[in-house]
Amino acid sequence: MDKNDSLLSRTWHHSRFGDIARLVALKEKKGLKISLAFPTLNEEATIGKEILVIRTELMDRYPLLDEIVVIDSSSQDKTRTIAERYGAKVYQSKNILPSCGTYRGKGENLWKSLYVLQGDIVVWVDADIANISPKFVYALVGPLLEDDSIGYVKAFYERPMRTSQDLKPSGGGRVTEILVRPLFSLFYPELAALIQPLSGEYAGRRTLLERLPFSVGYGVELGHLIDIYHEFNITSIAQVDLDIRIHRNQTTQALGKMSYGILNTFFKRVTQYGDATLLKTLGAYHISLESEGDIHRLIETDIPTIERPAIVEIPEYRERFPAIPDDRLTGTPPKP
Amino acid sequence: MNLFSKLKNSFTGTYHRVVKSSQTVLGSLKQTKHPLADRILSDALQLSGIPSPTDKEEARSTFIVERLNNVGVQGTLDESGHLLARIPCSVAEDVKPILLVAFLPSEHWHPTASLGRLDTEKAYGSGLADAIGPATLLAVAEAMKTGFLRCNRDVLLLFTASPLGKVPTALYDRLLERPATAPKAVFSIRGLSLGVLNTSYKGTYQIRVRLTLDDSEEADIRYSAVDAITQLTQSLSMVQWDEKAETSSIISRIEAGFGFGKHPSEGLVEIELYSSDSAVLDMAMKAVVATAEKTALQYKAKAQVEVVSYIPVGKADVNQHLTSLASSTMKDLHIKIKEKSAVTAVSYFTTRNIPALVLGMATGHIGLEYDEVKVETLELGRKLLFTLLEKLSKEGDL
Repeated sequence: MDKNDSLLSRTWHHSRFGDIARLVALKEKKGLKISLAFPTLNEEATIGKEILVIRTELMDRYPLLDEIVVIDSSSQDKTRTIAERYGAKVYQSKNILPSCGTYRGKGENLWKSLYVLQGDIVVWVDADIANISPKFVYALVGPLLEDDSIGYVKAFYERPMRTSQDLKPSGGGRVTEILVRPLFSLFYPELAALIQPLSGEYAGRRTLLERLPFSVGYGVELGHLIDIYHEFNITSIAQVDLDIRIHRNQTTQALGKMSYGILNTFFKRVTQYGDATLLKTLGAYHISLESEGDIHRLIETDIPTIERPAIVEIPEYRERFPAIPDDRLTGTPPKP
Repeated sequence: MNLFSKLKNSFTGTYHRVVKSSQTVLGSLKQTKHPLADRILSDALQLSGIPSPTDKEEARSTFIVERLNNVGVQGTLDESGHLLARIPCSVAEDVKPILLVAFLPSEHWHPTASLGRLDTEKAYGSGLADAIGPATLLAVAEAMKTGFLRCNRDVLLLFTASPLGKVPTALYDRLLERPATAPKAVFSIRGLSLGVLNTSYKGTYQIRVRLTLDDSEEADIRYSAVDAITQLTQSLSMVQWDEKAETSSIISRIEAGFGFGKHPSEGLVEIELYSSDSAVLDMAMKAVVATAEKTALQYKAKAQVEVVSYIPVGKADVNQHLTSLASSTMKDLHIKIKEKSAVTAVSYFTTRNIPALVLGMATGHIGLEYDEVKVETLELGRKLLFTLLEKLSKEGDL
């Protein structure tokens, strides 16, 4: 097998993990706790159903999850009230680790969630999924329970475009195909085998996640992958097919800003690991154009590119989660 | 290892798996405030997202079969897609089971509007109300297998692939023919209309008429299908079917003219007849067929008349005891009772002298774009059904 294909040998369909009782038995045998967290910002349309469906199946019916937590970025809608109503523990991101300050962004919520979650395995699921089902969680946890050498599991799926009337096939994953996969092909061909490298659903072992820096904004997923590739080895990454994910689709303008954030993280990583050298300072703003008739204007947007350090470096965290001696680390693969 | 040892090991393994699974589920039922109502809602939200109506509702059946298997209940699918499962719990032989019926199809499924959502008080989704019936039956299975619901009679769970307004006559006849499946009482479980008590059952015919006018070159083309269908519907609208006006006709669908993309010579009309009197209902059906044929003759058109579905007039007196039991239970649970006449496929059972009631599980409404279900009322509906099952199972004779 070509080396670039190695990830494909750890690519599975969710049905492989459909026997939830078996997963619960594995979890109990290994004495692990599993936490699910939803990072949210104004997700009242979908969060209630996500929590209810996952809780009834994976906490009430099968005790696979030990907690469901919402980490909210000060939503202006009823996200927090609805989440509590259906049984999630709700935290406002700004109230977690206040001594570290606060930034707005999904990556910030994920990073802070590591401080409040109890699990040895952490699952993150985006809160805008309209067709949520338990497989979005158990299929990500399955490989971690089955194979101690796997430390990080990404979801992939078909992403139809949702219109007001219908679902149109595919069309999702535009940033992946136009930006991320070409970059991976050039710099990290083994990561190009990730089908949805930017998917918002993934699970990992705390022992691995706590050692990763987090971009607070759009680059969080890409940053994780490059860091894991360098620090833990590609063999610690697996991916699972969840069939189909229906969610709101973003405008091309929004995808442009996302790409800016992702590129920023990418350049930081390739320079940090010595994979490339930047000869000039990167532009500080995302630039887009607005037109009114013959008049064109430049719009400069400040896209946060701040990085949180590995949370293991934060004293409050270390106090709550004391370091485990290396010989007792289960499932954290050694550096290559 | 000899055959006996293998069988013993296999049986022991299965037993332990079922016991462990039941213990897990039973333990978890104590964790949340309304665990079974939550599960009904969760399953309904997931079911309502599965495309429907489809041939035999295979995708929805698969969901149900998986759920039943998880609690150790085996279902049997027949060739038409109807799924029947038995939960044994009779303490004596020859005790007739209670039959719970739910309908898998939904005419309201929509690729995006059925994806369902929740706020603190209500659940929303196109076709969500239709999915509550099957989801409730799953909760019954889970509750019975875990001992949360205790019955002294077997319970049959029937998930039919027929739409709500159609009697699966062959299936019902098969059930009645066999002593093991002939029920003592029947509940049709619906999503909405909690508190509605059906005091009478109307019968109905749905009749589809296709008219095709002669459009050959020799034909005298003065009229279109629109004219013929207008004539037919006007004729029917003027009819008073009985003295007490207990029989009515409704034009439920017309497709004729360019607006519907139809050729001027083609048209379709669907007529629904409702009555509490079997004889009048049959007479009305024959009159509609005759009027359609006569109209076709007037316009030199070909008429294709088809009875699409038929639900017989139910015998409400058969339900006397069941209605009184339901009424008193509703009062105990402080459920506001509304007495209404109903049109339901399970009225078929009353014509065979078997009591059959429709039970709504929640309140809310069915909207043009999506249904609204009041979340808190699901627990009330769940209690109503479970209480009735427990009461009925204790009675020797219904």
